[in-house]
This record gives sequence, structure tokens and C-alpha cells, in this order.
Amino acid sequence: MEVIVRYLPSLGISAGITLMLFLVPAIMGAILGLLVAVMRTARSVVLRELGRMFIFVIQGTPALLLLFIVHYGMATLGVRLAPALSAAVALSLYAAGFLGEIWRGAIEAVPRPQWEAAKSLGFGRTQALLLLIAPQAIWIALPATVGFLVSLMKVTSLAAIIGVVELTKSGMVIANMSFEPMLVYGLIAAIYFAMCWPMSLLSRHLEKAQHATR
Amino acid sequence: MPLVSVRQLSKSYGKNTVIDGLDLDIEKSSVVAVMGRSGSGKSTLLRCIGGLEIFQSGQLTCGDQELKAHQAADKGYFRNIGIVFQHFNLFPHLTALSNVTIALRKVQGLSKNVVMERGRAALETVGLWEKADAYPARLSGGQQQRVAIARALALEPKILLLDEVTSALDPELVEEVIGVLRSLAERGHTMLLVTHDIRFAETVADHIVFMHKGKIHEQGDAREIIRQPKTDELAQFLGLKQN
Repeated sequence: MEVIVRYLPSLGISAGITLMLFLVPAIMGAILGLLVAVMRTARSVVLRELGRMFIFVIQGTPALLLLFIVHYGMATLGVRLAPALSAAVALSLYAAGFLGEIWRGAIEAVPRPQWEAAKSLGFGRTQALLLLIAPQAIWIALPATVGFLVSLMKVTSLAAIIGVVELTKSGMVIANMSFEPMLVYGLIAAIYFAMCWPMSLLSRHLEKAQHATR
Repeated sequence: MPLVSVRQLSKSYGKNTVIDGLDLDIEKSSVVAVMGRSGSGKSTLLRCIGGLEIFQSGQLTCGDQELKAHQAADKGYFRNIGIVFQHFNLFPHLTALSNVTIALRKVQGLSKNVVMERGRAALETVGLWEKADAYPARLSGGQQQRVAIARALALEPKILLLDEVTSALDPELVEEVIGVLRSLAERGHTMLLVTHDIRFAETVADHIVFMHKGKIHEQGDAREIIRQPKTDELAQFLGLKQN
């Protein structure tokens, strides 16, 4: 118990770093992922293929390797980024690859006649996508999106390998110093759980609220 | 001059010719029913006139808009047309009123007052103003189809195209839709409806076109053509003659 009290402030700081390593890639990945999803469902073959290639490369590359490429690989090209920034960039690309594909699937899961109805009312493709299709696709994509975000939260622990002192790395240091690995790692697992659980709760709440309005 | 004029229209899917050099005129304020067996090309004809299909040859005019072979319909073309689909195709995340008004707001850019006025008038026409705030899933099939009709009407199109609008409904709900369409016909709305329901066509339409193998096989006054078909194919379709 004494160990927990003594190291709680530093665990709190590293939990904050983990949270930032999650939030920045989640937001940047969502923006980029939306762009990729739109490219994947575009009329232009070039855009569709570019989007497909991006997803193919990102999904086929381990997150750890993406971290190495951005942090060490880019350094050899003269672009030296701070470890936390490298992690944010690599995880943003990682998130974009997965969110883009989840949202592409959701857009395509909206029944084709909905597009036709929009067209018959005079809507252009982009306007129909934004105003009529995306609001339906959001609900289709919600469970898979939340599932991915929960896993992204846990993937942030890989940033420890390029020197970011986030929650897992901090736990390793504290466990080594205190000789209480079970207690420290148990606490860290609980902190991860506490950060992931609200996302699952929110998802369930939104789904229920959506069903209630229909 | 007819409101809709179709000239030598042909449409194929690969090697399968669905419409084969078809000519058709639809006069203003008339109600034309297109009938025929499955695969006769009747729904494809409606979709071509509705700008939802690109055709390979021929041309069609709808009001002041012209559509040529290999040409996609633009916003101007869709302004003349209101389409009602077999499965309603309402937007499930929007209320009945929003379904009716969204195109007025976002496509036509009308002012809030005009949008509300036209949305209300359209829903009142189909007798559903009291359901304005209901989501489609909370409405019966007949009510959903009436909202879909209101959505098309709110655009104030020159012609309403109705594709098998009673096929997905239970018999008791069909009457609701027929009632609405009859009142629209009495008000002078021009309509083209595709159906295989003989009673529906006879009740609502004043002119029937019978399609067979992508061509117009027979056409004429709705009541006459049903009682005295001239061709064997129509007689068989009407059940007046054995195959």
C-alpha cells in the first residue's frame, strides 16, 4: 500500500502521457481515417486505389514497426522527432488505417437505395454522403470503432520501446524499484481498465439512446 | 406538347437488352400506368425517365430538360421529377418532416418559412401532418409510403414517378396509398406509375401502357384496355386467357 501511495503521483503523470498518446492519434487518425474512407468509396479509381494501398500497407505493418520507421527511420533521413511526437505520428497513421477501413465498411453497409433516394432528390454525391449516408454509417460503425479505440489505448504501451515514459514504462521502473511487480502491474492494469471502460459505457449508452429515438 | 417525351430509348445491361427502341408520350395532368410481367422493362423505363439509369441510345425530354444517351442526369433534371420507391427509401435518421424538407433546405436552399410551409402542405396532402415528428421506424408501411409521396410532392415536381409503390404493402395499407394517389390525380398531378397490380392501375390511371420484352406492346384508355385487350400477351397477363 505504501508503494502505491509513494508512486501514485508519477503514475498519474504517466497515465496523462498515455492519455495524450491515445487522444492525439485518435483525433488525427479519425480525421485521416475519414479522408481514407471517403477515398475508398469515391468514384475515381485513382482515389479508391490510393486509399486501398494506404490501408493495405498500414494494416499489414505491425504497430511497433511503424513506431521504429517514424522514429529511427525518419531520423536517418534527417527528420529527428521527439519520442512522444514519433509515437503520436506513428499511432495516428495506425489509427487512420484501421478507422478508414471500419468506416469504409460502414458507408458501404448503408443500403444502396438510400443513395438513389438522395440522388432523386437532387443531392450530389458528397452532399449525400455527408448529410444522409454518414449519419446512418456512424451507428453501423460505432461498436467496431469503440472496439478499435479500446485496443488503441492499449497499443500506446508500445511507445515505451522508443523511450516514451508512458504508463507501462513507468510501471516497469516502479516495479523494479519497489520489488512489488504484482501490485504495481495490477494497479497499472486497473488504470488502463479505468481509461477504457468509459468508452465502452459511452458506446452502449449511445446505442441505447439511438434505439430509443427510433 | 407532351410533358414527357421518350424517343427510341434503348437500355441494356451487358448483352441483355431491357428496353428496345421505346417511344412514349406523357401528357400533362395524365396518370399513366406501365404494366407488364417481371423483366418486361417497366421499372427500368421508370428509372431511365427518373434519371437513375444511363441509357445507351435514344433521348427523353421532361418539361424543359433533355436527357441524351450516355448522359447522367443533373440537378436541373431532378428538379422536374419526384420519385417514390417500392421500399419507400426514407432516411431512417430523420423525422417524417425532415425527410420531406431536407432537399428543400439543402438542395434548393429555400428559406426556413417556405420550407416549413411546403413541408406542412405536403404532409397534410397525404394526411400525415400529425406524424411530422415521428421517425420512419415508428410508422406503418402505408404511412411510410405516404411520407415518401409527400417527400416527392414537396419538391413540386412536374411529374411523379411511382415504382411499384403498393407492392411492399399489406392489402389493407394499399387502400391508404390509393386514396392519396387518387386525390393527387384529381388535383391534376401528372403521374407515371409502374405496377403489376391490375386493380391499382385501373383505379388510379387513365392510360395504361403494357410492356413486353422491352417494347410497348399495347396501350390505351385504362378501363378499355383492361376489359378488351387486343393482344394475347395482355390478355394472358390480365388472366383473361390461358398461356
